[in-house]
Amino acid sequence: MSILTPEETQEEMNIISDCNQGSMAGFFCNETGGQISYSKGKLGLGNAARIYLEQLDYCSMPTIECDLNYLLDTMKFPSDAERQFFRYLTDTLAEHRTFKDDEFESDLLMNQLIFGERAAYYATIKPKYSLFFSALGQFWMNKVANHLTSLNEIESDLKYNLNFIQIANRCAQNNYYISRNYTYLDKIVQYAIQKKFGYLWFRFWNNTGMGVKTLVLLIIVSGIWAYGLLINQIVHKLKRK
Amino acid sequence: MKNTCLLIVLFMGLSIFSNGQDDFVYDPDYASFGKKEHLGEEFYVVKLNRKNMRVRAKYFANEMDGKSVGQRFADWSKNKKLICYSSGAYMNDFNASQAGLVGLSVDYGTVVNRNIKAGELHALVVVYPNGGIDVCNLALGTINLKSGGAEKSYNMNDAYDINEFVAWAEQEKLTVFQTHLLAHSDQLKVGSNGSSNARERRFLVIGSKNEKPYHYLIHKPKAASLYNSTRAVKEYMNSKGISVDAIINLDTGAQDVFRFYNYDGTVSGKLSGQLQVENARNLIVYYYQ
Repeated sequence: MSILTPEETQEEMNIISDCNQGSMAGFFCNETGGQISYSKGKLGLGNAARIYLEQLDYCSMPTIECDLNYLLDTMKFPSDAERQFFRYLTDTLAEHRTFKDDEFESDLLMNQLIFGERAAYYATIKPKYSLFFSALGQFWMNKVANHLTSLNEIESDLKYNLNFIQIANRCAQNNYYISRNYTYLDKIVQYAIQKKFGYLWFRFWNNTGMGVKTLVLLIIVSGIWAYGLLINQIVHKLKRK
Repeated sequence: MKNTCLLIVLFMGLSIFSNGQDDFVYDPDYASFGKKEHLGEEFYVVKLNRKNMRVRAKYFANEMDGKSVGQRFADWSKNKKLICYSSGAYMNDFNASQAGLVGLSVDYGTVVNRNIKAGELHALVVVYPNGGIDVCNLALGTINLKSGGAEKSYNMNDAYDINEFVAWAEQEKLTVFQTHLLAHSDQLKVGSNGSSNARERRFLVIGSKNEKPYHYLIHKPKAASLYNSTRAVKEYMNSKGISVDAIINLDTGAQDVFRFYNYDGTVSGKLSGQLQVENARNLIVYYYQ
C-alpha cells in the first residue's frame, strides 16, 4: 500500500540505514541528530513517517511501546518527542487511512476500532505509558464512533446494516455511543411500537398546521365513510338473501 | 388589661408566623415559577437565585448499580428539598430504556460515554459535587475550569488533553454532559440557517443581574425553530436586565420530563412533562440546601 515511487522509497531507506538504528531512528533522525523533525514529502506528509506507519505492526502495542521507549531515551526533548509520536499515530495515520465521507468501509472502520481498543487496553496494563495509550485509544475509538454517526446522517437506512450494527455495538461496549438518525417515519413507527399514542397525538396536534390537520381529518372521514359504505353493502346483500 | 391583650395578639402573631415558616420547604426568595409573556411569546420560567449557593444542581447521567435514573433520583431525593427537575442531554435512541447518551457523559466520576462530539454539541456542562455548574464553549477549543481551588485548562481538540480532562473528572467526581450551546457570553450561537424543525423547547439559561447569579429553566410551549426560540428567550432575558452567560438546550423529545415543586412542597400544576420521572434517561435537578 506504499504511495511512494521506488526511487523515493530507496532514498528513504538509505536515510534509515545511514542512521544504522533501524526504522525508528531513521524516522526521527535528521542532520543535527537528536531533534524531532521530518521532511514533508511530495504529498505533504513526512516520507519517513509514512514508511514507519506502513511498516508498523498495528496488532502489536508492545512494538509501539518499544519505539516510544527508544524515543524517550534518545531524544533531547522527550515530552515533545512523545507528543510528536502521538500525532503520527493519530493525525498522520488518519491522513494515511482516510475514512471516506460517503462510503461505509466496514473493514477499515473495524480495524481502526480494534487498534483503538488494543491501545486503550494496553493503557490499563502499562501504567508508565497509560496516558499515551489511553489517549491513542480515545482518538481512534472516538473517530470511528463519530464517523459512523456522520455516515448514518447521510444514509438513514445504514443503521439497519448488520456490519454497522456490529461496529456500533462494539463502540458502545467501549462506552462510545453513536447517534442514530431517524426519519419522521422511523419516529412514528418507534412511538407506535412503544404505544406512545398520546405523545404522537400531542406532537401531531402541536407541530402541524391547519392544512395538514384538515388533510388528515379528510382521510379519516373518507376511510370511515368507505367502511360505512362497505358495511352497508354487505348488510343490504344479506337482507336480499 | 390593654397590655395583656397586646401580648396575646403578639404571641398569636408570632405563632402563626413561626408555623408558616415551618411549612416552607425552601425560601421562596430563592426560587419561583410562573408563566410569562414577552412580545407575544409565552414562556414558563423557573427562576433560581444562586446567591450563597443555597440553590444547587445535581445531574443524573445514567443508570448505575442496576438502578435506573428514576430509581436513583427517588433514593437520592428522600431527604432533599426539591425545587424542580427536567430531562437533560439527548438520547441516541427513542426507547429510553435502551438508549445511550449523546456526547461526553460522566456521572459523579463514572464515565458513561467517552464519545465527545466537539463539532456539534458545543456546550460542555460541568456539574460540580457542591452543586455548581459551569458551561464551557467547546468551539473555542480550550476550556478553563476550577475545582478544589485549582484552575485547569484543557485543549479539547487534543486527544491527550481530552484524556486528562476525563481522568480529572473521574478524580474530582464531576458530572459532565454535552448539549447544544445556543448562546454564550450574551451572543447567539445558533444560526438562522439551521434546522427549521418546529417544536416546543426547553432551555437552561445561566445569567446574572447586577452581578448576582441566576439560573433559569425556561419552557417555550409554542412550536418554533431552535433559532427563533433561542432568540425569543434571549430577548426576554435581556428585557429583564439579565446578562446571559449561556443558554443550553434540554431534551424535550422522547424523554420530556419536567416538574416544579412549590415552596410548600406541593407539585405545581402549571406545567409538567409528557412523561414521568421513571422514564427519564437523564435528569437535571435543582434543590435547596
